[in-house]
Amino acid sequence: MVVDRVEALPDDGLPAAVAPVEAAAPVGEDPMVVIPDDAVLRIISFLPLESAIRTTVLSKEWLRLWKEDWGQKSRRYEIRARCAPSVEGLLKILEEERRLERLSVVVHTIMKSSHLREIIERSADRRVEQLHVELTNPNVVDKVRFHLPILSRMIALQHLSLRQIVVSKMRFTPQQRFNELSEICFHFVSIESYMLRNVITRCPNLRVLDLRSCFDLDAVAISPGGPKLSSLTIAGCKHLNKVNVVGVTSLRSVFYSGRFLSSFYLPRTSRRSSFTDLYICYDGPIIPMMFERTTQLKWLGGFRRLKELQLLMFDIKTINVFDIYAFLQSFHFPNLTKLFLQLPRIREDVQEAVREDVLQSMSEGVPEYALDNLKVVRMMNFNRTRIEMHLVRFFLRKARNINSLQLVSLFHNAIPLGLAVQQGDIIQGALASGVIQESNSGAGTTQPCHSEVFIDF
Amino acid sequence: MAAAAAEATTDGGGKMIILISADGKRFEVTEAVASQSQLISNMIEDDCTENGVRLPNVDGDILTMVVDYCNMHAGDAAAAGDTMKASSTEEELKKFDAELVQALENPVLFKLILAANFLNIKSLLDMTCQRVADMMSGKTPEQMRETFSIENDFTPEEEAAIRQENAWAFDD
Repeated sequence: MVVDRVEALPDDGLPAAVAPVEAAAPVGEDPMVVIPDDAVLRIISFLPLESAIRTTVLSKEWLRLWKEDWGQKSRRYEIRARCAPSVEGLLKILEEERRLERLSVVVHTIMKSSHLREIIERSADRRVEQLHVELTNPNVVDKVRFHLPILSRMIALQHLSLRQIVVSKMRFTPQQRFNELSEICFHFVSIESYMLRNVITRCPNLRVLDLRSCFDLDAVAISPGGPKLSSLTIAGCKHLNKVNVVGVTSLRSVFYSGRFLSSFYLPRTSRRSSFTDLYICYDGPIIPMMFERTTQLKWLGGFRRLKELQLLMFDIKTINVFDIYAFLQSFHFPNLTKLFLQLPRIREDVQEAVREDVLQSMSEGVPEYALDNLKVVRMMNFNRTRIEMHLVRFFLRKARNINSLQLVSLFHNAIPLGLAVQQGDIIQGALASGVIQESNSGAGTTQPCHSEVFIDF
Repeated sequence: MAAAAAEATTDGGGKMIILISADGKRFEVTEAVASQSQLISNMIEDDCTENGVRLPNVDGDILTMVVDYCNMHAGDAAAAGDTMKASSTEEELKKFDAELVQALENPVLFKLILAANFLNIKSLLDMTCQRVADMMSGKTPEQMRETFSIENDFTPEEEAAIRQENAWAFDD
């Protein structure tokens, strides 16, 4: 299986398109020190409650701000059986609160759909700006329905986050809109594709859409006249077969994790749109689809501008290396300068006959010019298997301008790499010229733009 | 009132005012452009802009960005009949805004926040603060500290106690 993670498609010629800000290592100053409290509060107000709460442990100053100010306007209630508050108790509390900006309700016990409706109504009265509702009891989840249309009563609502919720099929009236809503996070939410589309068209100011494990979705499509979305995350929506956001030129960040989709349409990178990051993670082999359906993969043309690519490998067998060659061969990366190859740390102990001759002929299909700008390659969890050595030779041979090939191994190798290969091997030359650098920890090596990995392996 | 009207340069009906940065750079902008800043808008109402508006805590390079931003967005607020360039399309504005903040290093971004806060330009303040929030969202406290070089002045016990208080937010 090959998983590709892809980043940074800057648009040439635009000053804004220099490397993403996060990519630069330690930049910065503590916002708390350099900008006044009210501006820091504004920053915090744009954070989801969970991230906001995390700022309280950053330093004493950040904690002070929470105690003095925003901690007062943020509430999280967990409803458990035989513990205060009960659902009724919560409704009463909500009635008495004066002003509440963020409300998070996690229900571990039994509740009714009508309770959910009442919580929404009270939140609307308190002018709640951020709402998170979560049901954890699986017996309840299936019985309770959440009616999205009543959310339109919450005129101040900016962030909506639902988890383990079944959305009802209640219809919207034409007047129902979510004018302030800028962020939607649905995790483990059962919502039909057409309902999601109905919600999105009612959010003119939606910036962030985050859909994870929404199993009922089969398509995510946003029309060009829709909201100016800047960030889209789709992960674990296993019945999805189509993503079409080709008209959403405002997109800057896309994160997709799931099975390979042959219908996946992203906006072309052009002067009008340039991604700051793009993360695509397919959890299945891509070779068969790639050769059958290359015509449907036109959106991949955007890879021409790609500068950094990270490939995560779940296994290291001949077929996986085939996948990599097929990928490099089918989509040219003339601007690629950095490539990160994450090999699996734990490997199945299957002795597979390595077909080096087949690998060799497959590797010939990758045109050299496609890797002409490649300067840095890093292989994590390098274990010196025959396949890995083959890959090292491949990069040394094909990437003519490579100046750093970093091999990071978790083990201390007793035998120097130079002695492990035969006289005259291309690897020896690269060791002598300093192109190959071996180390036992990732520290000090070139880091990829994103270091979080969504899939465990 | 009369004095102000006499001194102000007119440009097809739009009165001009001068903004002066901390390092003495001068920027000539129309009132419509400048009054996106609530601070300057108030000064215009109070008639105290005729000798130029000194902004002692905004550097020239930051003020350049602010003026660019206000010029781009003047279309939103400008009265009809102005000779200003035709207001930018929404698409262009979005693109301009995104590019303005995406490329900035943190220290510059913070200076822009300071300027937007001081001048009281809500849309610019929202946009820059949103950018900082985007850099923090979903990160662990350790990652946030790293991103902004925040010094942790808690003892491990103190930090553990605060985490305990809201343990749900620190799960992963």
